[in-house]
Amino acid sequence: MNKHIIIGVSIAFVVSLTILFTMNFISQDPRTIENINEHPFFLSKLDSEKSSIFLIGHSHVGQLNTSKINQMISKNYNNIDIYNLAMYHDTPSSRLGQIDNLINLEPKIIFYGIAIADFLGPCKYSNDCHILGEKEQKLPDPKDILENLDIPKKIGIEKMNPKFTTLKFIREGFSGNSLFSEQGRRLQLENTPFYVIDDSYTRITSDSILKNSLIESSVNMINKKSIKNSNEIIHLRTIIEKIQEKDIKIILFKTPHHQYYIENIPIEAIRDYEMVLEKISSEMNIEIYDFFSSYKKLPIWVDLEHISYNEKATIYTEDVSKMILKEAKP
Amino acid sequence: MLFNSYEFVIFFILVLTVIVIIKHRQYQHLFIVGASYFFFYFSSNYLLSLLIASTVLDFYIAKEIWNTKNIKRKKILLSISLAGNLGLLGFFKYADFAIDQFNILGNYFDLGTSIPYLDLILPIGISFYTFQTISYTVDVYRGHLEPSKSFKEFALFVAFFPQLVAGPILRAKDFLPQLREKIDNSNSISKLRQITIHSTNLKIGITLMVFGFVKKMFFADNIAPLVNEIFANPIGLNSFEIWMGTLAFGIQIYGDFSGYSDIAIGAALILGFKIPLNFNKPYFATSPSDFWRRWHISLSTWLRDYLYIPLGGNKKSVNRTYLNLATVMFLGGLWHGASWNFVIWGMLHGGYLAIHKVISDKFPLLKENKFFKSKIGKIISILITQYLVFLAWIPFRVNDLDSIIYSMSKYIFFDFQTDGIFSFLVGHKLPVLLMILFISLNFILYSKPNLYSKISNLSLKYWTLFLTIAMIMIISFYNGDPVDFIYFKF
Repeated sequence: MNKHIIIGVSIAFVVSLTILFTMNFISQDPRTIENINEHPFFLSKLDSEKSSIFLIGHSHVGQLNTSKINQMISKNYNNIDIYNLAMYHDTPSSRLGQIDNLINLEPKIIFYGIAIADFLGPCKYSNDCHILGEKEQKLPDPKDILENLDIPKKIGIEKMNPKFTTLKFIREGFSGNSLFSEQGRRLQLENTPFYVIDDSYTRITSDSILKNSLIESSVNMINKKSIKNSNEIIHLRTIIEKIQEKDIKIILFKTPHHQYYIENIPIEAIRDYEMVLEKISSEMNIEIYDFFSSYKKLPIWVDLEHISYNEKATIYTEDVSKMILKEAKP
Repeated sequence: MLFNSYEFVIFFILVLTVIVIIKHRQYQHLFIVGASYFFFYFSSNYLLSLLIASTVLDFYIAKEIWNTKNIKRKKILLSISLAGNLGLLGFFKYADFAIDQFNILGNYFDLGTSIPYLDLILPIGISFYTFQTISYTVDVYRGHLEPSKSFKEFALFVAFFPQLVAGPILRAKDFLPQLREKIDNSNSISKLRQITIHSTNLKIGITLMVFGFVKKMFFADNIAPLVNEIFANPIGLNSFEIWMGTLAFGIQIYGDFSGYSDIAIGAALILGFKIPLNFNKPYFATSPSDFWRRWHISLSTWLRDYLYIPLGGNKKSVNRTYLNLATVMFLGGLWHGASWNFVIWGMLHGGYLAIHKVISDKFPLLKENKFFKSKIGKIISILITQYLVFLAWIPFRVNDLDSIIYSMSKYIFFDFQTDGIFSFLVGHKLPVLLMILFISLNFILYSKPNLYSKISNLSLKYWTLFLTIAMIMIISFYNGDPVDFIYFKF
């Protein structure tokens, strides 16, 4: 009898996982692409008669309107194409894995948007990374054994967010119904292969909701974890070295954050962030542009870390375009 | 190790496999002790030493209490046990809270006191296992329980992994006999029980665990974002939003904690151990005292047996009864965390219980009144009780006093600001739909008692179908990052 029960449990498990993978396959999303290096963008040939400029970083950069930037640049230079290669949850360590592919495409300049939370690494929103702080760990950690087994990767759910996949599938299924379709609409933007704008990223959020959303931002992790000795700094330096080795110009820019975000992180963290970037700038001879607090009080935010992709919130895109124009001068 | 993580699934499958392989009962028990320690070590690392220290202390002290005839010596030994356990709990849980209060008082009287915080980590489960060991020693002291002869058995009672980190709080008299089986109907001779996995237990256990996972991962974790959004900064929100947040939190904490208890009870049952029920449809309670007979039953009965009754219970004067109630609920609130908001929560419940007692004592016939026995009377009693219970959830969830006062006043004095209700509901479709579904399912569960065993008795085909649907709900709405159980913090 026990055997039958175990078979029953196994069937239920397999069926539910199959359904999840099927939903994920039907509604494949850039957030769930496991190996970005296999993305068609890297197989395609860019226009050889034009120079390419890449914008990289995570969703802070993804929210830039690439079409508008291209329009603004084309007024001065008609032989430059701008590509926004932002990725969800990107950090220097994850970007390092595909930097060779980016370099092989021979861009003229790479603009890298760095947020303060990028130095937290993959733990920026996670609660699980601080159950027992590293300093308190006195004895060997059995978690390491399980982590080395890397089961989620083996069964293919490493980067999958099942809830996100399911909701996306439901929304697409109800696309005829205005109640669901409104939020479900997604925009794949021009020259932005790895980032999709959800409808929710186009709204401008009210001040009271922004105030309440602190808990969902990376503020908590910044309050708990020092960025000064982050491995992400080493990865960022490696990326820069690799780019500079190929004589490609690289520019860093500090991405914008909302006032509530800035006010709720320790002043030391901001100081460390600035110091780290200044040190990189002076030692590696790199220009850094600062948008960190440029728009902190403006009503243009989706949440505390992202400026809305909205026609009333183009100031960030315009300023980035100006930065590109300045740096693209021969 | 969180129950809602793949590590636990692997761990539990391994434990079951080894139990099936080991035939020798001594080694089976020893293995569960080892597995329990590993389970604790996995998330708490060197803090395992505290669990072992508490176990060693009470095992030997209880033995000494039992063996000595000298009442004074018995009392001294009991005091040592209490000081050890409560000292451990007090130091790790309340040291910084005490320092904080001391500094505030010092500043108030301009003494310039500024003692630095100790910044201690709260050992997971300490509130639960210290209460278990205290109850064991007190029961031995009272002569209600013969101390365990085997350290291994006592260690298993303290560290039994399904209930180690968040209860239910076990009683030795319920658990220790389950480790033994009688020989030839003899009452005195017994040997260690062979741990076998019976198909009935396996099916009911899995059913319970799946129910627990659905409550936690499908309902509680997906309702939590709405609660977080509302209570991160409630000031300025209207009554409707506060009501929604309060309702959502009530569902979240019930789903979270009773979900954990279901998983614990189910996992223990698969191993052949019966853990007492911790929740019995608390949101259908008809009075505050009825609520405490249904909510976190293992804690409320512990507080009754080891605090309320020793204080005199209701056997002394009326005023003393109220004082006892207030003391118990004050300490019960503080047990949940070193913060005044838990004290407010406890005191509110203490107030409810006292008022209910006053009314019951003044109007003894009210209980027998036809109206309150009718269906409509019962519904009204439930609604009034739950209105008060949910009001008390506000200080439990919200930390700062201004926000508590604002939220409670908006909850009590409804402002009828109806504009924005539709956009709020549309903007929070998923949590709102889940709340409706949760409430509906609870009504079904209320009207159909023993649903767990009914589902477990389904034919294998239909039972597998049930499991599949439940697993789809769990897996499809899992957000990729296991969320702590709320009661892990307590």
